[in-house]
Amino acid sequence: MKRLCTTILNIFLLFSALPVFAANAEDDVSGTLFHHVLNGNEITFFPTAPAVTLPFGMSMHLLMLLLSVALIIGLFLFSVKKGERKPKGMVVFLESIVLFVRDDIVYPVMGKKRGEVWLTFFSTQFIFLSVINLLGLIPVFKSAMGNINVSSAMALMVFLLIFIVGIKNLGLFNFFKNSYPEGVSPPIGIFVVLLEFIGLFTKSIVLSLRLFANMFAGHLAILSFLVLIFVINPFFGFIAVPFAVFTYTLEVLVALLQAFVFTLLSCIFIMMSSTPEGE
Amino acid sequence: MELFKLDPGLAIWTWISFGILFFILWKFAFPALIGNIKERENLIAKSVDNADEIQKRLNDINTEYAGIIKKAKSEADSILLETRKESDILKKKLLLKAEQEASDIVKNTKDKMLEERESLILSLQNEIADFACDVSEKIVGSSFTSDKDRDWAMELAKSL
Repeated sequence: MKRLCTTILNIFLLFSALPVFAANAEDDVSGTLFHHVLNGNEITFFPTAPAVTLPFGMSMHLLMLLLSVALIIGLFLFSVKKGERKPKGMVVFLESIVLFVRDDIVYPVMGKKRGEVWLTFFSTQFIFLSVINLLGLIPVFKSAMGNINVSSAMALMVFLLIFIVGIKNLGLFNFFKNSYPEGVSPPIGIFVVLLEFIGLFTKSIVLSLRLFANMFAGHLAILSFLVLIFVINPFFGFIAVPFAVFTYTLEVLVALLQAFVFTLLSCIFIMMSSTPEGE
Repeated sequence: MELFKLDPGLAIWTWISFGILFFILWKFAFPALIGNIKERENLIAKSVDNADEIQKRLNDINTEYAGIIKKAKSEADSILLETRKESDILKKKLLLKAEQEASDIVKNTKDKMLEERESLILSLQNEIADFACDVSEKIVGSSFTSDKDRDWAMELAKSL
């Protein structure tokens, strides 16, 4: 029932957004699309209402970041209580998320001993990414992960952690030696080490691009379907709106899936960098 | 291109936001949440262990019970066999004793009957002797009361 209401509300919001598109779409299609996806310092609470400029020079994506953090902190601090034997409501939901991260991401990759140390970090990462991605699906808001700077910052953090944890666990010499293949001449060995580090860098870039592209493309796809109504024919709405709703539903799945993929890959990369060769 | 426009400020804010979130959750939320999960898991593990132990004890008790029942049954069987044997012996003894007693009774009765017969015969002989004396007195008219007469009468009765 709740899901049905949400879908109906979304359809309503999508339809109510049509006049705004109509005003601009005929002139500049790509400009209209990007205006609704890219970062800005204005928020439109209702499609026909005038845009409100955010205070302190804040951008929409920064607002989404802060809102996500506040939401997560509020959820956790108000619902979780120490020594609760019979959890109910929100605590059960939060516990199930942490258990999912623990049993399906951290423990299978890192093992129990190391996993316990990293569980807080990866749980926070998964929840942070999920909430930001899901908040971005609410029509008034924007997806902060659809901004290359935000997703790159997250990936850069993982990239730095790969180095820090690797050097801390293996030592500076062994961390570099780990990439050096045995039984090869020094020039080839050094070349392989270089390739390995380029690989590490590439992995992080890919991590960032995957998250950014998925979140950005999803929003763009929804808006593209709707803009087609004005570009082709108003009657095209009968096809475009169901497609947009379908894509939107798919976006919910993608939002959670990308959070999962990002967390899982971060976990694997950090684990790989801090494990000696052959283990 | 605006899509790939660099915004270091936003990147730094991402780190700050994530850092603050991580610190607060790490410091205040996760210890309680993970602690509760662990406590519950320990409780469940303990309960499962207890249940296993109880099951094991129950199995032991069942085995012990089956052993006791088996032992009791075998004891009961052996007691029954022993009792049967004893009862057979006792039965034989009693039968033998009864037969002995019966033969004794028969013998005693026979003896008694013989004694009775002897005494009856003697008494009859006395009667006959008395009758013979009385009849002789009546016929002869003299008294037949001496011991000699009596012995004669007795001899006569015995010869009948």
